[in-house]
Amino acid sequence: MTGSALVARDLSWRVGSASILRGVSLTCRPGVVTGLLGPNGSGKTTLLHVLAGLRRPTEGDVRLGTDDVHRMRARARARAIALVEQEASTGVDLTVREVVELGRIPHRSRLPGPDGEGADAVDRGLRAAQVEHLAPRSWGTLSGGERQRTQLARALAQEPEVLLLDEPTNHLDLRHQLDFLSRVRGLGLTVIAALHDLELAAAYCDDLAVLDGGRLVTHGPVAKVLTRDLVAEVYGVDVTVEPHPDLPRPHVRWNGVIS
Amino acid sequence: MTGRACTPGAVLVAMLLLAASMAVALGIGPVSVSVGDVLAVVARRLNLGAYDVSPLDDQIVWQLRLPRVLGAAAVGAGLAVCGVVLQSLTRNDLADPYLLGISSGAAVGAVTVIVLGVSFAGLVGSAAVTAAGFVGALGSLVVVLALAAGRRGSLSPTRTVLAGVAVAQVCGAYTSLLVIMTGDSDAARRVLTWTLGSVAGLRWSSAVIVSVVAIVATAAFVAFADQLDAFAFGETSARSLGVDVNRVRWALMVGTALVTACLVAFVGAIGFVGLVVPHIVRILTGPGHRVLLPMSALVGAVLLVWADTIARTLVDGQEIPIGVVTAVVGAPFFAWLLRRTRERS
Repeated sequence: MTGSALVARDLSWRVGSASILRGVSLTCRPGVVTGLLGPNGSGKTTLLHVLAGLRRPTEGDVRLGTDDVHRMRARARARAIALVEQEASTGVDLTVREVVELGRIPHRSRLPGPDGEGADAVDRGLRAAQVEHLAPRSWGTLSGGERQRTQLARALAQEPEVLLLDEPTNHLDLRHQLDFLSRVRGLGLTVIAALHDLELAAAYCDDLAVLDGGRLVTHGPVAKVLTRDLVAEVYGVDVTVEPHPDLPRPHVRWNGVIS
Repeated sequence: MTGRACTPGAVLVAMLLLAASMAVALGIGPVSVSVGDVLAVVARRLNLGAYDVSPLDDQIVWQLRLPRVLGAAAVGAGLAVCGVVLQSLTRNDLADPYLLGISSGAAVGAVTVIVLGVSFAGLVGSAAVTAAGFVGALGSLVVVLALAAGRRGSLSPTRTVLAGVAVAQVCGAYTSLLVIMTGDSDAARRVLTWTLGSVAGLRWSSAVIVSVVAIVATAAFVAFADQLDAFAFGETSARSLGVDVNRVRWALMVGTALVTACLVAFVGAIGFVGLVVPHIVRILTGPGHRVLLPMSALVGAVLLVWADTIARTLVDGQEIPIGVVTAVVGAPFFAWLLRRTRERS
């Protein structure tokens, strides 16, 4: 699987008199993990939904290759872009396999019939997200981390070029956080992940895009973006960013809130 | 763990069960007819062979009972699939076919005709009640949708449910007032009977109409099976799976409302089937709509065939409202199923 570049041009999104996104222009490189950072309410989820084509921007457009995401047919768009939401809940008694099979809906013909390729894609998704052993389990019995990985498996069953993740590590313990993000990295897809943890962002993202108050503050490779000044400006927190003693990436240490 | 029935097999079993139920139910009544004679009558009428049947059996089975049994099955199927669609669409376990105020709107039309004894659109008697009920149902649908629709044509399930409640309250107030003001106890009884539903008035012409409606509705809703599945995790998730949420909502809300309006106009507001059959079938076959919809149609049909058989035979010379029977028979069965699944989970 290879990804395509996702290019947002001058996106604005307003609801009533509130501007949630203001002139965001962003190029997400193909096959690369872009971390989306920013404090609560900075517009990360809204940006992901606009990038996914689920919300039409008030101004600007989003292109995947040569296609305008908001003019694509909904099914074609769902075959190209998959989203894992922050929190997925359902009152329907589905098994893990049935949840992952939802990812085949945009691929299936309207007529009933066997979906041979689909079963393979579901199996691959289950394996890639490490939930194969849970396949017959009921969704209601899963832990938060298992649910998150099941949703990832569902997104992978869509066989997308672009994978959008909204705070995917929220419910995971440390081991599963690291495991989840390294798996996502290994997929070779164009990934855009809203993240809260700067250390995780530094470790697993190639590029970072930082939002504050609906504006894109900065965007670029991790080493350039993640600086003491940026974190102070956007989060109001004093940190020390230094080369990791053992690993080839920056290490973020927080010192306290700037009052 | 889920212990679900093998699905294509389950649909086949349900089809056989429906056919058997109808064959047996056709023989039950003041004059009993053996299953063999019932089959002979039906086979002869369908030109499947030159069977020797008595004119009396033919009259009873083909002219008197079959329209009613067929109509009951069709109404059960139609209400059950509408219940499935609305529960999935609104993600509300308590949704039933009357969610959009259809039954109360129909009641306004039907009760006006019953109580005031007026003719409607040049029709009199039960035809007038049916026509007025249908027009009333459409009226309430239009009002509910006008109240529920957002500025940019969106149709939120919560707003729709609330608009349905509001319209139902107003309609209910009107029908109550009308019945009380006329002070005629016979009219009050007939209104109550209509409200609880009855398939006694079905003749061949109306039975064919409700059958066509039920079959077309089930087939049309099955075509939306994937889209309905996609609603499991809510609106955003459905959108991200390529579902045009707004279009599907409008199509299915209006579709179920028209089907329900048609059924209610002929047989009144039969309760319980549309609410509970979907839940029963979900427990049996799982939530996938490709199987859930046809199975619900078949189970709803079987339930109403038997409910009507009980309604017309339990007390000699008197009809029990079918809605009472569906509740009395269905509720304990549903309670038993609920307990069973609790123990399993």
